[in-house]
Amino acid sequence: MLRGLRREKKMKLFTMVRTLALMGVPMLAVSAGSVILGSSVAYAQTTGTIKGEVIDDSGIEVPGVLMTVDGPNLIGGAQQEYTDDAGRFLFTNLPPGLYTVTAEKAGFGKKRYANQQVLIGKNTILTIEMSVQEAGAEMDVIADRPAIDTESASRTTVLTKEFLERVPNSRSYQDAVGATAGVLAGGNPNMGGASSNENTYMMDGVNVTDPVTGTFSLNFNYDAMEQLEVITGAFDPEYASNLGGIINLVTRTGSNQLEFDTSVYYETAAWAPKMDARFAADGADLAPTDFDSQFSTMSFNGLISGPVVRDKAFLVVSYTMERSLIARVGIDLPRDYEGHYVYAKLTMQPTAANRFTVLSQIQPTTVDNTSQSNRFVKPEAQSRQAQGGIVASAQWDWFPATDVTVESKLTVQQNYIEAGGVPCTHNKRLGYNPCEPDELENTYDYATPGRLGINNAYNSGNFYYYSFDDRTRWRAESKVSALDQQIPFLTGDHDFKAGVEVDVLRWDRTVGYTNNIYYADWNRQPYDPSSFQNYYWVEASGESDVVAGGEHYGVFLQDVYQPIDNLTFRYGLRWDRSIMRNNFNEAVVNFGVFGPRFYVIWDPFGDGKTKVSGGYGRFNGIGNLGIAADLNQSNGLGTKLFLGEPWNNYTNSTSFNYSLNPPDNTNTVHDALTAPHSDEFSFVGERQVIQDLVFGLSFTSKFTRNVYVFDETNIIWDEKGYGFIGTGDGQVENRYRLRTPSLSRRDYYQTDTYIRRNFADRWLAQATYSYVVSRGTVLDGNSTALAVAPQAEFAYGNLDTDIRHQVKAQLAWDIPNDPWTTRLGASLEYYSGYPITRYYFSAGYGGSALLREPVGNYARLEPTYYANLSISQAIKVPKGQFRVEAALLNAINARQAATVNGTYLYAQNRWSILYRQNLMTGRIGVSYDF
Amino acid sequence: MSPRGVLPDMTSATRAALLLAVVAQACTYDEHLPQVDVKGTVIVPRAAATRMILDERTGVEAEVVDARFIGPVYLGAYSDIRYDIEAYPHPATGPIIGGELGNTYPYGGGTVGVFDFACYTSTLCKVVTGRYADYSSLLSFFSDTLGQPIVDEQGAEVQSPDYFRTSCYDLFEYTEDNELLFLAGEDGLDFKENADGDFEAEFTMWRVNYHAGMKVWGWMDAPDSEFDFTTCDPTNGQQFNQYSASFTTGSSHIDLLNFPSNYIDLGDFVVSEPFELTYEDADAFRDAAPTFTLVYDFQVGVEEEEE
Repeated sequence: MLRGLRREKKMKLFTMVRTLALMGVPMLAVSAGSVILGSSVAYAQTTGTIKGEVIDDSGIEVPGVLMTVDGPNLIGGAQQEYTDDAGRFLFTNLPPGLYTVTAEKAGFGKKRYANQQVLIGKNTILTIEMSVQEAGAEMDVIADRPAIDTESASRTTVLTKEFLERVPNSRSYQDAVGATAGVLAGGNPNMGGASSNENTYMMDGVNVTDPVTGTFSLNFNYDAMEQLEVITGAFDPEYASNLGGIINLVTRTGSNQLEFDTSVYYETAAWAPKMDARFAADGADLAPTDFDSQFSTMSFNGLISGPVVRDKAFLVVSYTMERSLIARVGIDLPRDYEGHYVYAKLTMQPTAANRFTVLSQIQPTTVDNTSQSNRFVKPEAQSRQAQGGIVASAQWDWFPATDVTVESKLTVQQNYIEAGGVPCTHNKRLGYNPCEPDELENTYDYATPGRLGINNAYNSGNFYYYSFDDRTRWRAESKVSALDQQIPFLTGDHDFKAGVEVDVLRWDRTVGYTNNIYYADWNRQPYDPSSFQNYYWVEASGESDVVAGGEHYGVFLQDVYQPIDNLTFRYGLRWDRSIMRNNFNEAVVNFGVFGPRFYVIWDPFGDGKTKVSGGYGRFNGIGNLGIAADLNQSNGLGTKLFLGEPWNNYTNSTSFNYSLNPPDNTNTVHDALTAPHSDEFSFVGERQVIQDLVFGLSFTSKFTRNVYVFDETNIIWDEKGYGFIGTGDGQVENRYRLRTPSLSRRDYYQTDTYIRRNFADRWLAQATYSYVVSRGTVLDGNSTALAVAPQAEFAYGNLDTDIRHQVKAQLAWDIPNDPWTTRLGASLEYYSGYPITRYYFSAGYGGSALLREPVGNYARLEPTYYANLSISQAIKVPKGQFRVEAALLNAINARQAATVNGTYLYAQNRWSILYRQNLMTGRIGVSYDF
Repeated sequence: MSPRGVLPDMTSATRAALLLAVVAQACTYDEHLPQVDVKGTVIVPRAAATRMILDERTGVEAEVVDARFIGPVYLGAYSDIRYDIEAYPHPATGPIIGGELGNTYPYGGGTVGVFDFACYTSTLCKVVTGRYADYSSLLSFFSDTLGQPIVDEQGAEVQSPDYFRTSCYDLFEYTEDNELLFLAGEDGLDFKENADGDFEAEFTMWRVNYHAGMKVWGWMDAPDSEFDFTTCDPTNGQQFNQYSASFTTGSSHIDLLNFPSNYIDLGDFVVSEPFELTYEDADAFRDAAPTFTLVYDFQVGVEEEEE
């Protein structure tokens, strides 16, 4: 019995350690805990594994070899164990980072493998050869660094600390993940053809995804990241259910060494060439623009980590202050962002069988001048926003046996967004609370009702709208892992995992209008103030306070089965039960759904340098509160509309009454929804062609069906959807129904060719070419806008993610100028044209909102491309080192349109460009660490 | 190797059943929505496409049959159709309060043809989609058939299809002909002459709230002598304020199906025999997937005179 065998090993190990000590061999800092084969089982999300086998000259497995794993991030000190009868060893639960693996046995030479990279959720697999010819010798083996995990099928890229430090980007994890194939970077990236609100964001294994929108909710100190795991598909059931990818941010763990790291960065576009924007989707360039956009950012970062109790408790505390001033063309005041991100993590391992981790992050942030979409917004009409939240998690890892781990975790996450024109309304408990005169900030005028300019009209007065938005997730989860298990009468090993998770979600939102009235003015002739007139005005009463809530239950069971050494089956099943309620306590989303996965991984040569894998997985979108709340029924807020001169002062009868909503929800909620799901088929072939260098080819096809869409049923449209001809209940009001029809679908194909050179010998490089086809009827999984044209069939065409050619390349090189080092870094991203969906005028919607032809088939933008360059110089000082960095970001830059708004066509035969290529900026930074 | 950590095995039958359950739940999805798409055929009599045209050169008035005379055709699904409200079949209405018309509260509806955007003010509320094959067809219809040449904002007659197209492109920011919906192409014309000499077209009423026993009814808005339509609201639609033009492009009134008697006038063609949908519920309707024909056979005013 292996359990018996392990106990026997334990006894041998104590004997061996004592013997070594008596012999005067330098002792490793081994605590009793780690000696007890202190291996716990890896969590897939935050740690990695080193495993392998020891063979002799003739290829025969060598049992009883003392294996030692040590690294600066390893709490509890070095871990040791003996190889088993098959010459195998296994070290799990290793925090990501660099490790040294040592193998020694009497009669053989001692081998030491340094700089073994442990990646999140990955196996570092070593085959160690020992020779009796080398008896008594000690050798450092530097050649063997496995670059392929031959037991994993997921399409995972782990950006290591070395990568993050050297490859230039905008120093945010959202931007860094853009280096990965299949990811369209942005504030909320698109991953694997999914919408930007279908990903899962994790921090040290804690789910920190926004419970309402499914987007990111966390900003973070870039320097505190140890590794960044980006999974774009084929992941195991233990991960969350979603239709997109997973971004898993793992922070530094701390060590027995006191470490301190501080830095200051400043980035500006003030010096950058003033280039005209270009856009030629329909063959007509934009007229040259007055390119006076403002851009500057500054950040201060500090991190301290070290032992609270040596080998027993490590603490990491991180702080970042980030300030940015970014204005779009023509805006008087820049968007002024100031965030403070404080993070702390305490990891304790008081005994070999118990580990506790407590972490928390808070991030109070204010954003002034948030109205940047209208170029004629006056300073006094600007608005302000406060946002932030807290994430706190407590985790207990219990290792009841050498190969069993029980992980239990409690998490609370609360985010808030409070927006409005009045800075003194940021406290939710106070509700709408006008400032006292001495509290006034900027030039807000609280006495004058707000005026909002539209169609390039003059704006004056304070912002008319405020909202208090609180989003909360309580989460409890537990997982049991049993590795190296065997089943009677079946050869091979199994790694079993099973888990359960429960989420309770809540969204509380209050909306109102300052001073209960606002005016909307416009210019009849664009840019012509002489044509200024009042368009309409609205009187409001009360405020709306709506609460949506939900629960999610998840259960999974999975196995990694290796019948023989070079063949692995990964399979499992996940079940999710999701209930999302609107403010009428109606279960808008209500289903239970299965997600089976099955993958095969084959190492055809058995040398750990080749992998061929493929398989199938079903991934389910379990929804979020935003979907349920789209069918909220507002209550408490009444509005009265008055129409101005452009309408000939026409007012229909309903406009003279406050539009207090009816007591019953008139939207269509029904219990026959099906969960949106993706059926994904994937294939990966990888070969380590030379040391540290991997060449790969992968293909993914992903068929997503039953995506959430909203359409309305009360208004009756004409044949083309251009105008409406009646209403079902006499009210000119949209009544929505939430649907998940089979026609609401996406078909995604991605082929990657890549080469990856891991960081070693002072340099790293990777390059990826992806050919992508992304077609379907709907991209957004959660939107209050109609996803399909009014009263028309679904239109199938190119989705926003259909960017056919994508090239990504990164390079970093350390030049040793002893005792200093110069680091050079470069990155490049190229995207072929983004498809444009054109919308047409619809009288029923009073604007351009009608999708008439297949999506994404109207035209394409020109390609966009970005290149970043950086150089940094280390300067050694007596207690640490200074480093000075200079970076040039978006160095190749024609200011091409990156995204257009197909909804609006302005009067001068030009599209409305939402985003252009990022500005060319320069960044300088100074850091000090010891 | 020695067995350890023994866990119960799953039988092949259990695995197969589990897999089948998963597959089955993925393949049997039905939303069971209370809304249905109702499809069928409308037939308007030959008279709806017939107009007496005066040939100014000869001074002779002749009968011309042309599908381009057919106005927008409206359809609605109602709880009932009554014959005692108006002089023509009319949907049942809700309470009449304060002398206001009662609302018909339609379950759904649709059209065959819509008022398309006007490229000139002279075509405002006069162009219906699905009736014109190309620019030349449109220009010649107004100029030669109706005797109402299309004029631009300077009052000059538009004779060149290219000029017409340029104006439309400029106004609507269009770049392709298929963006102008009134250009149907020969194959895309919705009304075609049938063996009886009448004209018929396919229709779809999207997302009708299904109620057993509801009746599908409708009318065709026939143009008056100036080729104007009562169902078009010239103040509705897209607003343009540029160059010398300042106008809205016109669109349907927004309550046509709620208050049809406000818009039905002499010469319009009304359905006298509405089609009743008797399926038990929306699922039964979907299973049967019925199609039917509505005949717009009652011409308002004309029938009364014959009686």
